[in-house]
Amino acid sequence: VRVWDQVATAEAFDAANAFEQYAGISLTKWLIIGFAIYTQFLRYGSLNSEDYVVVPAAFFTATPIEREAWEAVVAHSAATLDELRARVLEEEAQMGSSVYRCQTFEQTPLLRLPGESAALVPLAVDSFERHVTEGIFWLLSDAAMDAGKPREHFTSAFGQVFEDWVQRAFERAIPDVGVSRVYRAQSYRTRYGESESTDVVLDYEPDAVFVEVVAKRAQSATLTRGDYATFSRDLEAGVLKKARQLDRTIKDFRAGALVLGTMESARISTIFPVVLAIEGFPAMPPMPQIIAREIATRGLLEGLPPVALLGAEELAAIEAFMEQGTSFVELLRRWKIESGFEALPFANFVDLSPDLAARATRRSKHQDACWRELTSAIRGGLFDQASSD
Amino acid sequence: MPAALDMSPFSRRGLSTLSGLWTPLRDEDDGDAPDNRYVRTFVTYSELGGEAADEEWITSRLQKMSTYDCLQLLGRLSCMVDAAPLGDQLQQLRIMERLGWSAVVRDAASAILAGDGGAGRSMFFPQQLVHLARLAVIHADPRPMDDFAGGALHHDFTQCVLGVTELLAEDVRLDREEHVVSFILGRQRSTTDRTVLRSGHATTTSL
Repeated sequence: VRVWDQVATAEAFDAANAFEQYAGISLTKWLIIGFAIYTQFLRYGSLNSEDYVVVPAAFFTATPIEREAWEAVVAHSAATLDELRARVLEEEAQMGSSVYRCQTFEQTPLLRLPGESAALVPLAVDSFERHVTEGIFWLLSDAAMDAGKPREHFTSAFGQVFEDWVQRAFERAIPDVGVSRVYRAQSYRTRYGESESTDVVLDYEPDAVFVEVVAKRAQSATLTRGDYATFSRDLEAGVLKKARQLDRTIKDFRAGALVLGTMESARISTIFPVVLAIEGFPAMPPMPQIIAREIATRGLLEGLPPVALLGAEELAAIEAFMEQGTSFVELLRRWKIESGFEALPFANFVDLSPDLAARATRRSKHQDACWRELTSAIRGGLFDQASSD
Repeated sequence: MPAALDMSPFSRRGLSTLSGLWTPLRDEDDGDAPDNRYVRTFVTYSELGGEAADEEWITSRLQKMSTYDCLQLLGRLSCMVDAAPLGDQLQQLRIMERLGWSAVVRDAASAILAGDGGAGRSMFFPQQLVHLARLAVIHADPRPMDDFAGGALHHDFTQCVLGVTELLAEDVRLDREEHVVSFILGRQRSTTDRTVLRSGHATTTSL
């Protein structure tokens, strides 16, 4: 919430406004109401309550949440049994049967029971959790299409927010030491014209880390069916596109076309390429090997360590290591060059490295503060209207 | 046992995510072997002594039940699955007790979970619940709730919850990249997507 509000771009506000217009509720209130309902489910799940059904009219009575606000969330999250059945059958007709995720539940994770109370039952709590958070992305996609704009029109703002979030994480962990060691994206000239540098470059002389950020989401068929064809297209439009950008920027840096402060190419021996995706990657082998092969087939990132694929959750864990004094480049060197676990996900590499596993923490201090801020905002929204917006 | 799923190329090299790749256990698997440390397994109906179950076996039972009864119970299960790490033994025992499952089922499950290789195995997990909910939405009777026909169908529904695990085994052609990729994508996204968050890594508050 904080980062979103601080990204003062026309596109970000456009997206926030579009969400409010389409969903009938602000992003902040959407999250507050969603988390309140989610908490109710968790309370039941952890045996702290016997109420697993949410009756919104009663549930929000003691809160300053207006009826229109929770009705907006319910309208975009719940369906009757008849509606659900029709949607599931349509989904199967369109995308085929599946034993994996159900796209219908992802979009409408609550069953609205018949009767005046319109009580809500979770169809799948993990789907509801994603609906409240990642679902914002889908609602914005729908809003764009409703407005006759390209599907990505509003969601592209997510990329800016995530990019900023990543940049700030590194700027916190790698403070200036007289000179900057974290470089944000910047425009530069090549003989082919104007170009944009990698989203984040870290100067760890004699090493450097070039980070590209991916906010693009996988398609529904990839997420719910494991569809190979859509996966291949997602790979091309996401990771491989970013690998191309990394390749171009690194070559421009090596050729002297891209100048980053005091960072001189001659002093940098190893450059680690990193692709950081907002939702992470299905990183189970052989996925890393397949991605590495596709990168190599295209002649990209030659002579560099294998590209590191990371997600936002992993970056948060990495930030915790950095707070403890272990640098990002040290982690990358051990993971991608020295450990023998370069094809394993980062989490496995940590687990297999006793010294790191012993220090792995659930959240960095900053993440702890963010979490406290978020929960405080939710409590404020539920019990004190003044602090919810 | 369900259709064989040869995970050896993955398990042999410890190749899976920290959050675990959840597969049915094969006869020859040793859940405690270091090679299998990241491949976790769910408990199948046949392991509990259940009969062979296919989709028709499940749907024929669901057709006798109220969809609302099925979805409410699955909703309760989903709350409890989401509130603890997958494979949390205590939570799984609590779930069975809270749902009032028979001592016979609970004892059989306890024996597996407490037995050799049972640690970290899962009786209840998202993929199982989502698939059964999907089948219930399509095939169960849309009549109003009646507490599983006044209790007469409670046992049948318990069988469906356990039996649906038999539908989740897959024959993956390991020499076909599209099969392997599809399997990994589906399993990771549908079963374990969020468990990294609960197994020692920070969450994100990017919005």
